Amino acid sequence: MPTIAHTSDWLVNVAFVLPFLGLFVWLFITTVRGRRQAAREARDAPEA
Amino acid sequence: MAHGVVGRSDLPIPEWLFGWAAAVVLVISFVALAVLWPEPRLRDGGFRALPRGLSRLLLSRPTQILCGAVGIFLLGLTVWSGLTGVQTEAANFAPKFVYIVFWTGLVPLSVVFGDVFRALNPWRAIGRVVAWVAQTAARGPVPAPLAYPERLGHWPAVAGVFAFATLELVASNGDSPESVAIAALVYSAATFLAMALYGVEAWCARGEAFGVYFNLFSRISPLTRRGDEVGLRRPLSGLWEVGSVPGTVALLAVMVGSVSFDGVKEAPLWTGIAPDLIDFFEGLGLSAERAFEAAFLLGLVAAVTLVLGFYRLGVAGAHSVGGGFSTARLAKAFAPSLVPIALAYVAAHYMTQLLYEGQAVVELSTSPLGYLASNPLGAEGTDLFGTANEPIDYTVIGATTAWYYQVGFVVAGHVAALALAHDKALALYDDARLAVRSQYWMLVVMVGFTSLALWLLAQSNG
Repeated sequence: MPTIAHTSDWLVNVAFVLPFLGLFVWLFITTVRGRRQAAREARDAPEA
Repeated sequence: MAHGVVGRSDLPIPEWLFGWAAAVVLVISFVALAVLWPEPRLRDGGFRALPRGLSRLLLSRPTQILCGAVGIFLLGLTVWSGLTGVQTEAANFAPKFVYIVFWTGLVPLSVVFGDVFRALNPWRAIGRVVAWVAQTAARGPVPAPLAYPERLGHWPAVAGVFAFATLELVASNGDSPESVAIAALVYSAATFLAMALYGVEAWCARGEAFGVYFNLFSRISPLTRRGDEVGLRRPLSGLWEVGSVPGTVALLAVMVGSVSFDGVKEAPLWTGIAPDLIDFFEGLGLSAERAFEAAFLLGLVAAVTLVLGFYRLGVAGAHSVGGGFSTARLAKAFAPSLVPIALAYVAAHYMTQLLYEGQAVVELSTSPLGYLASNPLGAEGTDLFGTANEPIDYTVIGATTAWYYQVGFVVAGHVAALALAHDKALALYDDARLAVRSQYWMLVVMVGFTSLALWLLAQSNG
């Protein structure tokens, strides 16, 4: 199990990337939510 | 080229935590820019001329001749010592001068004093002399050069800088004195041919790789020239127009990507992959040396592509917020932000190399062909300045102090990049809120570049 045996090695590398990944995921979710909301509003608009 | 740094063991927090702190600084800077920087400020550089006497002295014909002569002398010395000197990288003037003093040392000089390489450029100096001689001999105007094709933009410079990076990082004998000298001769021949076709100034401004490379860094400088005056402008304002010339983004990607690859090739990530790649290329029938070069070339191309892809991610994100701009337009508009990032990468990665190995150039300049004492092959040499046995002072900066400087360079460079991208967005978008929203993705990209830079430094210095 070499991957587990050297966990600390690659975990340190992951730690470097975490701020980028965190921001990326947050922004991606925010963008998708924003688009869904805009689509919902556009769909609801003619009914109103 | 080894970077000459010993490991650090006395940092108060782990290196990755510096990455997190840097990300926090960038996020705070982003918020501060959104709140405190509501209008574009860098479009107008606010030029203020220096005293006329100083401008006249700096731009005078004797100064130009002197600087050009220095450039020609150093080019000649590099070729001469590379071809005829001791063929040991550590004992010959040519490799250390080209890779350390020229390639690395001129960057901080350009950032502080402006486009100094334009004055020192040996190819431009020779081209101007030849043009002057041709005009004098012809006793009248010589045929005008061809118009430089707009579409060609900076693409010749992209090819030149990539070729230089390949020589430095990929070629198995790229640091041998003879290789450096031959490369200088080949590049000189190609440059003179291009100058003959398109004119000296047009080629130096657009196609000459080193002229374009150092000019990009010099645009950060508060010092600039306008007509026959030298003056001060707002730092970074010289970058406003960067990106309008085709190929600029690719050039900046090569600049950042090549430094990244220089860092990653010492990391376990690369040292783990490289042997498999070399085996693969050997399996295709390449010799061991060519397989090594093919693997490293692939690594260099991958690093440049990664940087380009990263930037494109930020541009695509900015495109997604709306505003009606094409991704090509946005890619050009935000290109200036890549210049401080390139500076941060170069400064952080090569600072210790310049401080340590740069001292060796003092030793080698006393005997450019290789001094007996520093040459294991035992070639004869001179000692012009009596500095042949000067040892390198490795206490000039400690590993821990160097790390703090490196982190400082990386953070400062990326904050400057954020400010530039923010300023450009304010000028581009009519709606300030949309401008700020477009920068969310650029913030993610900047944090990514920061994390990558600190990870590379931790790999190569750790």
